[in-house]
Amino acid sequence: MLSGGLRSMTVSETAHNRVELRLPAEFGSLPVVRGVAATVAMGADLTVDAIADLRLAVDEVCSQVIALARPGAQLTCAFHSTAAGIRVSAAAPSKDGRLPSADSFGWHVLRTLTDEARAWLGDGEDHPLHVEILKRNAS
Amino acid sequence: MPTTERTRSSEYDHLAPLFVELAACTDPGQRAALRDKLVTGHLPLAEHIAVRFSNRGQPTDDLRQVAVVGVINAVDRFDPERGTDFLSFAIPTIMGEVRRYFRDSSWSIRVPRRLKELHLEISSATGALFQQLGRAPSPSELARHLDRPVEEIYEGLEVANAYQAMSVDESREDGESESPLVRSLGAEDPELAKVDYHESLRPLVAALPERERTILTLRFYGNMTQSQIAEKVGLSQMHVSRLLSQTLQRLRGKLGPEM
Repeated sequence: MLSGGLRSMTVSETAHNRVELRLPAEFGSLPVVRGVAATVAMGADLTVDAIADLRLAVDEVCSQVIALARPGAQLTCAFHSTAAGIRVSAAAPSKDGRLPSADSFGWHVLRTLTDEARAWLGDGEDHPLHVEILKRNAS
Repeated sequence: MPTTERTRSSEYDHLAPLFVELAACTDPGQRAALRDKLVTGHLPLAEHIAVRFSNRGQPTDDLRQVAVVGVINAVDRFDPERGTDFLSFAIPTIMGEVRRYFRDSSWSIRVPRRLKELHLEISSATGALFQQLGRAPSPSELARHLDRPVEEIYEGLEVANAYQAMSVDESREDGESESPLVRSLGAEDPELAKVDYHESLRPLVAALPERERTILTLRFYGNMTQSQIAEKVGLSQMHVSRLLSQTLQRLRGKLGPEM
């Protein structure tokens, strides 16, 4: 028989292992994304510091994508929770093919809050802008 | 009967040596026992302060709880090496905690009492476990420590953010009037004075209230975790988290979307 701890871990893994959101690429979507980020991070039993960091980081990731998204576009935000940590990627069709500036304060915030942060333009007609972060489990 | 500072001092004199013992003690079990003794011994202080602030529209039970959290924080942060006695350190700390509670208590209108209590419990347990573990606890560790189901911890942690949404506009420029500790930090810490902020950020950072500026700088230029910052500035981790989130939102508003 499974112990209580193992059982609850299994439940949270199936519930939060992979979550994908589709929302309007607008700043008004941020509270929803933040809430999901916190739920996924709590389910992964990160420390309260890491949970708070992930909330801030996801806010920043989505803000960056939204700022450079084509007006009226859709934002996709995916959370992937594994034993190693939580990977979050946000994407939206780009307005003008620009990437977030790596010298900006916003990008500095992302690098401080996470273990990996990168941005790139995808293939395809509307050159989706992707921003992805990884928050490792033990930090 | 009014209690004077003098009688209060003698009431707690016998506890002073325990701080020295605690500072020298490395055994986690023994440390926890000493801490318990110190907190319990100083509880009447919380009572005195809570009573002083009663009749201002907040339930005395709430005030008592906030003051108790203040006692715990003061015990955790007091350094006997500094040469001041505990009371002159603790009284302003605890009063600051209670004043902050008044200022932040707009949330009490909408958040049920049960959740407020849970929030306070989690808040102080986070500090205690940080002391014990040397890092912030996870929800399951908080659940074990408080002997509550982990779902309640999730709920309590989320309440902190509900509270944030309501207090965004209210914690602004009055930050200065609060903790003398925070006020002195920016001026005294030479590391903070040397920080090379991002160009566009400089005028905005200068315009932030001292407390927000200190927290922002320690997190993003001082590489400290939220729990370490909480300990340093004498707030709870949840409070630091809230202020940090508000400050980033504020900067984003000022810097424009491409922060």
